[in-house]
Amino acid sequence: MVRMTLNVDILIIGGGIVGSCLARELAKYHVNVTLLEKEAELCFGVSKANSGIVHTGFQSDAKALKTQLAVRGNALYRDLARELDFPFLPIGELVVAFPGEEKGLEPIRKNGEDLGIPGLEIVDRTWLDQHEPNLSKEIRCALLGPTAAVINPYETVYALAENAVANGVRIEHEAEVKTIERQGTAWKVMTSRGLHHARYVINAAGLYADRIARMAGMQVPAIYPWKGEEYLLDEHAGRLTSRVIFPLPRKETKGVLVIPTVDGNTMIGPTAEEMFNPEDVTTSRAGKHWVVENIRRLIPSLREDMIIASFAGLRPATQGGDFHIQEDKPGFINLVGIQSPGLTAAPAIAEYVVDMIGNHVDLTLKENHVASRKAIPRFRVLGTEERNRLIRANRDFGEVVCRCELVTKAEIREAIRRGARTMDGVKFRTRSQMGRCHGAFCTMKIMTIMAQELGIPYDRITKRGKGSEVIKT
Amino acid sequence: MIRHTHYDLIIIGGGPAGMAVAVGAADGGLKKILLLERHPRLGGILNQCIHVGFGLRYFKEELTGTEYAFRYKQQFEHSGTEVSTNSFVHKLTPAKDVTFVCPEGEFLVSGDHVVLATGCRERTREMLTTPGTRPAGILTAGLAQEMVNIHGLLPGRNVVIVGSGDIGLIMARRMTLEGARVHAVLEILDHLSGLVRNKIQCLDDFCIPLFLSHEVLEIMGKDRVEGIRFRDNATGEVKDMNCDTLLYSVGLIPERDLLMDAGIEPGNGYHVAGNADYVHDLVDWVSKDGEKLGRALRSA
Amino acid sequence: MKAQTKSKKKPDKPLDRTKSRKFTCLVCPTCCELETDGSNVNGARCPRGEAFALQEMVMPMRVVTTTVRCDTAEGLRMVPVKTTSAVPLGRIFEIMKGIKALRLAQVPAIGTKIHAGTTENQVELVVTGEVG
Repeated sequence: MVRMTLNVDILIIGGGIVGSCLARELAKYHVNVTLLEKEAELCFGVSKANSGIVHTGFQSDAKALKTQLAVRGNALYRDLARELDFPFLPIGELVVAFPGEEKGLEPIRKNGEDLGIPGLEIVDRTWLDQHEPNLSKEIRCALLGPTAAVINPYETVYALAENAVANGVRIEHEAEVKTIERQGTAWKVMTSRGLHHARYVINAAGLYADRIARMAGMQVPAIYPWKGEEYLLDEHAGRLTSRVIFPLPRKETKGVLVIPTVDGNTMIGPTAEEMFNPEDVTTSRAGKHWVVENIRRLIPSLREDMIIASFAGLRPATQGGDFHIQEDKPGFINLVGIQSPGLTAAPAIAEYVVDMIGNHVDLTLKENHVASRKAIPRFRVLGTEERNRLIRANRDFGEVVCRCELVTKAEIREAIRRGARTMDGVKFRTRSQMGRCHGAFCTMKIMTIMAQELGIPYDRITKRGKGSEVIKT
Repeated sequence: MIRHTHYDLIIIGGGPAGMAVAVGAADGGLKKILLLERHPRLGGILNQCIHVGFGLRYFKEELTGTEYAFRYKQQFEHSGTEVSTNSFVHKLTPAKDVTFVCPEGEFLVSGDHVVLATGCRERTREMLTTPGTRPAGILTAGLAQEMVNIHGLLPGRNVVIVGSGDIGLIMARRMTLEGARVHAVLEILDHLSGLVRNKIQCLDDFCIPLFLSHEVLEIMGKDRVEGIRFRDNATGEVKDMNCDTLLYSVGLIPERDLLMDAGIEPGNGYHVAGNADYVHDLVDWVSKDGEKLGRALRSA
Repeated sequence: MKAQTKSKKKPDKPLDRTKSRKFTCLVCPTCCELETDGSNVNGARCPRGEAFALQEMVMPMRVVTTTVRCDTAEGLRMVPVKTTSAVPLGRIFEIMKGIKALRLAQVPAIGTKIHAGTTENQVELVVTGEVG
């Protein structure tokens, strides 16, 4: 569908965590903003599949831009989560040391202290026995970082996007950038859905940020996709640890971790494997083996049969390793190499970029900006009284659609009203299809609701956009 | 709206097992029986079993699953059981309090006896952690059965069935009759999982090959399944096969989450019936076992 | 698990081995292993098994179970049906074509008879379930 040319002040390319933070931030000002996302929904790229950790920030070089932004991002998340009503669990993290490694902790602690990260302390065997009994007894001591947290990246992205849209941002889906040209003082961006003229372009295209930059005639660090596989444990296995557990870090990766998720189960991973294909998100036998072997070292009681699901994501890594956030040409800001701690830094990246723009463009705050947003009510976590109040107001809260995660029809319908257009979009907004039965119970129910709400035939319903139709005619 | 807050017997699940327990319990003298069913109607999995193979032992007649459900329901209706449909039980306590949700609200009822007649669920690709991509076109045989038989939808056109369990065999025939091409059934064990009569009527009749000792190594396809890589474990040979749909029939898991989540073991008034207890070969045995269990329940 | 059967296996009759074929009986869950040369049948525990083997030798017959489209005012409903008698396996796709062409306007009661196919090649179906 080709539209008329639109004049916007700011065009954001990429609807992941960074693009959404930018949209939310820019929506506070009197600027015309459009966000372009090439997939059917936001958060279907890098931001969909990662560890979901908001790091303390002490794990990277203090002088690096990414470290500054991560520390600032961590601080910003608390208010953000409260205002936008997305789950944020400040469970803290531990970097553990096996015999012979103990000396490696102090430099990290010192680094963190210099960065102004609060609460860092090195804890001993007694503390570990008391607070993390499932950890291997071989671990001598650990560095505790209480300000680390876990989030659901996709819930966060949708929360940010809903708020941005409520404040006037336009989002275009299935809008893949094809060509970029300079035209006078504007950038001319052609997408699969039409043409845009923008004063400012912010390239937050994740795995494709280098290609976007090259399209516009700029040389930026090349992206080397690094795949990470993650494995989810059954809820019945319980929370194996209370905090995120890190081994001592290596250069390429922070290691294979134990991650208590926001939703109450445990995730283990990721792997770190260089890929040549930025679309390769396969899980592998070798990857699973690697994760299980590494985690058994940390948690001897881990059993392979606890694993109920897996997925893989790609890190947009660059050789330099730091974030490249620069206005490489007037009016074109490239964000390249936003891998870990990208999720953590995202709110601060948005602040940083808005500052950059503010140096050249008049940014005046809107008086009528709506700062807060309410999440879709989550039936599963409410008490009986609250549930009955919802059911009395809307019978659809009394109809359970997802038996594993106790998601009701009302929540599915609301997810669609808030922008879900695919089965995965419904999944990421509601947790339906994520439980033990992996959609065997709820799939047809959800499809029926989607067909009704969107007025489309079943054969137009996709898993995650064109080409992934669930039904064949 | 349900009539009481306390019952002699609460049955969770209105499929063949639940109905049988009610029939037996009423027969045995229990008076206040409540059956909670999450769907709008009774029948459970039988409602999507349009094929024959049911009733030969219980009704002495070869019936379809749907016919069996209808006939048994007629019997059940004489049991005087109070039925609440669209009622989803999600919480139990050791004291036999049962919490359920329905469009009228969330309610708490208690019983002297509580029977879990919740059937079973299917093992999925994710549980097997089969490597590869996550495209559209991967589903369990039971979900495919619901899609085809209840909604008249075709999940795919070029199908490979993973696992030789009965539901997979039944769906091999069903999909073929609906115009799909079922290329093969791949079974990791060295023997058939399902019934021989199903292999004959569903595979041999349609020249669909069954490959034993075959293992799916990887699923390929970006947005939709494009093919699989598999290995003949008898010879070690690895091959690829094109397809657009994978139906998984790799085992059934008795549905006892409600007990597990509450840390309850059967006993002290908690019972498990039907496939929630163990996966039965024939629904006829589910009915017989269920009635026997119901009859043995005594008033408190 | 083999169910109990009333009749015992009968003593084997002589078979013309040049013509004999083996079948697994599909009549009941016992699934006797049958062998027949077109006249005598061995391995059957009941007369139905003998009839099955003889028929299977000549022309395999199967009951077809499927669904029929019904476009009601409330939306699409699929009505479960079966053929009232077994049909030749070799004609199954042709018969399915006739059934798939049917369109009902309202959901019939269980037990209702429906006809599919052309006048020359008609197939009788019976509705096998209630529809939600």
